[in-house]
Amino acid sequence: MIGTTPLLSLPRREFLKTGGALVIGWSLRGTMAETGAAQDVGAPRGGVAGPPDPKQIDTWLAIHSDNTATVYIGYVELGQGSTTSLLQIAAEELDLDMSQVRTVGLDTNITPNQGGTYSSSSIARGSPAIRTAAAEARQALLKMASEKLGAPVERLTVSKGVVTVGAMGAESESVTYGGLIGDQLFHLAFTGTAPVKPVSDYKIVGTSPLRNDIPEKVSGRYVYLQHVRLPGMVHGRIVRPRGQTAYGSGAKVASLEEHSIAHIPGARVLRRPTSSVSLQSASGTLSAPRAI
Amino acid sequence: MASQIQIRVNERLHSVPSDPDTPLLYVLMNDLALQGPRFGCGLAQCGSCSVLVNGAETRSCVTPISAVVGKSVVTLEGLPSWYAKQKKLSKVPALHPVQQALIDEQAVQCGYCFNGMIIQAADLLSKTSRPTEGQIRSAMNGHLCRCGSYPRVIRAIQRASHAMASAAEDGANATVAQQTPVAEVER
Repeated sequence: MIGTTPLLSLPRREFLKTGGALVIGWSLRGTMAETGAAQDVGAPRGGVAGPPDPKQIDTWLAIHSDNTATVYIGYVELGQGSTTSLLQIAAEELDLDMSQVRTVGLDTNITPNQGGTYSSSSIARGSPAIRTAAAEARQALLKMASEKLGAPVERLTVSKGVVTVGAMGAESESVTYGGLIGDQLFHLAFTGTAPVKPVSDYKIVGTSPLRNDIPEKVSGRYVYLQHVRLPGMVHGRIVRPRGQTAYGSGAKVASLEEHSIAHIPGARVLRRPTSSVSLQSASGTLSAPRAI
Repeated sequence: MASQIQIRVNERLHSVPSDPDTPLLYVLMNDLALQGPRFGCGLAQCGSCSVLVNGAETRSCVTPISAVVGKSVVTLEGLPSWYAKQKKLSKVPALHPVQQALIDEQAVQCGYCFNGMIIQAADLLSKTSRPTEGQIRSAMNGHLCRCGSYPRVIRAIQRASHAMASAAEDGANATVAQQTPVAEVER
């Protein structure tokens, strides 16, 4: 298997497109392909590398022309379902349907830095920011709608991203979120001061929608860290001393016949700590570790 | 030294440069860029790497590529096709009934081990169309899930079994449309 080019050779740019996957095991393919979102995935959203500014509403969500929203989440989907439940929280505050919200893969250039994903605490630690950002975006959208419809904010109601004057009815005027800001930036500071919905008004939070990560996981389309392939990528192997007690008893590499793998193209000793040997080769073949 | 080895994977013949003792899993992952079979333990103990070899669940991490020459390897990616052929369906469904049932039961958490879970369940149902819970437990015994999804996996296999039985009753006209009844079983 020596000297073969990996079949899936992704240049870095392409790699980043699928590459929330690298960091988090979450594929962007489905979401981006099906929505055709204008977002240039992989490019830093703020124009500079690194997480976008958490003090900006645009860091947390985007409203698209088709009256859907992308919510940017700073946690890894490790099976806990937080990419679904955090979307529920955002949809609730925005008065959008679950079918109108989606998220993208975690990417340090694109998604906010919400800290590590650990101890089943994504909802506890992550939802306050997402909830209040969504509430603040809704407040801004209602202000825009108020100007557009010539009616005070107090008279506006929202259902599934459609803002209506007064009660929903045939004669009432309405405008969609998408029509108000579709794919434009809010350019609005995130202050965290917008009032959030009272729990008694919840329609989505507290329900159990189908998790958005499962279809890709059962079909083999989900990209785990182990699936990432880069051009010229090599495979490393660690050759360890034999036996469970070898480390405990201080086994050291006594000698190393590097010429024993010389016949395997591309294989070389990468590193030689005192207690193990790291090898690399162009493929995952066992020849090199066996030969040494 | 590496030589060209021909293997049949998901109904396609591939020629890969490989040592005969290279584990099948490495070839599937690294050369064929498949995402179904995946490395878990590397010791045939966890089942993340499972594939079907001539219809039987096989641990690809400990199967040398030379052992599957002349045989038919089916991975998670090829499972709907394999199922359609087995059941003589006129169209290949988007998902094998087991895959659909796992969605319906919301059985998956991190999902890493589910490649093997699905392959093993498909193998089981191809041979035992109405397995008892005991038979399911016994068949799935060698598939480890750290998330602890087992109870839902068992329910999903039972659901898939029902779905396949009702699909069979509908006869040879079975098509992709039968994914819908699958979702409705026992709901």
